[in-house]
Amino acid sequence: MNNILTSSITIAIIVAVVAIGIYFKKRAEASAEGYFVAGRSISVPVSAVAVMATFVSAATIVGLPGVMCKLGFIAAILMCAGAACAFGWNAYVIAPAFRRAGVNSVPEFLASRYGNNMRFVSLLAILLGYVGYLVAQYKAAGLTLESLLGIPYVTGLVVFGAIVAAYIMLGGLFAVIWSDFIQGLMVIAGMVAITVGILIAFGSPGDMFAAAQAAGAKTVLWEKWGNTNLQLGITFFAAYGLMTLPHVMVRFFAVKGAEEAKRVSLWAGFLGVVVWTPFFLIALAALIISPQLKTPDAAIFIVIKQVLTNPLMASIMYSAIIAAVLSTAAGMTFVAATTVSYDLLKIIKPDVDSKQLILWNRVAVCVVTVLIIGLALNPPLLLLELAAAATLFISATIGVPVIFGIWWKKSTQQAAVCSLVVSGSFILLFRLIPPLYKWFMKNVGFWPELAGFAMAVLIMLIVSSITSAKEKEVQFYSKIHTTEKFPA
Amino acid sequence: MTQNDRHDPLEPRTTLTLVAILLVMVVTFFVIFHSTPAGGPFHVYLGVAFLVACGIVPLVFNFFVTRNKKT
Repeated sequence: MNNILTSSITIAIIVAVVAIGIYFKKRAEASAEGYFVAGRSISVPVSAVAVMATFVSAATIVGLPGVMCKLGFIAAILMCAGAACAFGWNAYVIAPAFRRAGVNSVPEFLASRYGNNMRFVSLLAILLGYVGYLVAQYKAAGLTLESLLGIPYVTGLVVFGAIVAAYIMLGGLFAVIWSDFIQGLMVIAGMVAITVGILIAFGSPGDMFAAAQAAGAKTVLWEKWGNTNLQLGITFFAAYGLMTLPHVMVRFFAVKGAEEAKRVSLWAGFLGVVVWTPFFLIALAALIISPQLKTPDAAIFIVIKQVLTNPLMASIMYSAIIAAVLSTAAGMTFVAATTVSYDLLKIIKPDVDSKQLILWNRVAVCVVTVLIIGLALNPPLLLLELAAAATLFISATIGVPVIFGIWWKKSTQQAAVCSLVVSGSFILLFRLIPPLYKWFMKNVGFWPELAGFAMAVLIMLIVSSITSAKEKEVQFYSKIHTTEKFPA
Repeated sequence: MTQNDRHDPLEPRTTLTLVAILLVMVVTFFVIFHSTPAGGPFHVYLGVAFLVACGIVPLVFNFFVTRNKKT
């Protein structure tokens, strides 16, 4: 019964997202701005729910209760609170400036601020990071479809990739954002369903904590995360790293104005907290049901099976997990494909027209999807490790020139290119070559990405101090800091 | 460009204030967390309260900033 209902809801979601793609096809094809930034017409509520959906992936829904059960609540608190802070300061630090820049992609923002060389190097960094990130998402999708609907892993990967590619190609960012909106509502509905179910079954959080302890569960294994360096590292990763991800930043290009971009970020952070908070109840419930939980990632499924006895409620929760996979993968695929087509074409042929840009984006979506499916057949690392490494790589390399570009007038092209190339090469070297990675972890004691970030900041400061910004760079800086009616 | 946009040049002081408030919250959480006995329900409640605050404080901050700007 559950399987039929879950399949029906999943099919309904798939039909809805493809229908959205068809509905927005004409508006998306009208101009490059329509396809790549949804005509800058998306309202705050739709965009905020969509950003939250992009952010909450299946890895979050399945992984967070598992992390809480295995590593203790502190790990999850630091990750989630860091992410909420990321949205909070994103609203002021990045979102309004990005919207005011009037560009269509993150490399285009960097090119406008620092010159075309920066478009090329940032494009390479985004592609490298997103390959790892997307492989992790597609693997999560394949595993989720396999465990929830019984679809074999490889078939699940191909079907999933085809659906994501279809609606992106049809409706561009319009389709991505509106389908994310529906998927975000599904995630919220799923979390409400499971929260109500848990509270009815186990009583108040205080009762649940007492019951978990009485059952002998090691509810709060704080000791495993007792290392302050590790705690600070994970907080930094969440609070800074997640703020500078291009598939989140691109949403700020699509809203009506800078003030709206700010509100989108604030509300997305709030919605994130609304969705993350029930995970503490889920983890507690899992520990009451199974105090010696052997497979932490199974925590949520144990709770759904035991607590959500109503088939409709259980199916809503399962469908929420599938919706979360779809929304995150679609956002990332779109950014990766845009980087390949839009930014690369703009370098090769600056006067390319919008029809060609849209056509090549569709080709790029197909190429990226096939490539990622191929890599996801045999992913090299653990899911969470792969996603974390990719996130840190992107934020350490791309994030520094972005933030300096917005907030420091003296930032120069030479500094931005040097910081990205040196920090990116350093991270790749020490992350991808196992003996070097082991040496680094043993002798330095923290992730190479954090050292790469520090290196990027230092290079920006030093090189910008000994070089001077060009007139064009300063003009763009002034543009994002002011408006036509109230010039600086 | 919307009506609100025209009144909203990037404000370094406001931005720094929000960043500082959030940093103070993180530091306060770490201090309370490390100076109280580990493992009890207090840490769970403290953690959840911290998480909820991280989502609400920026919204409240923006509400006051916008209100002050209008008046």
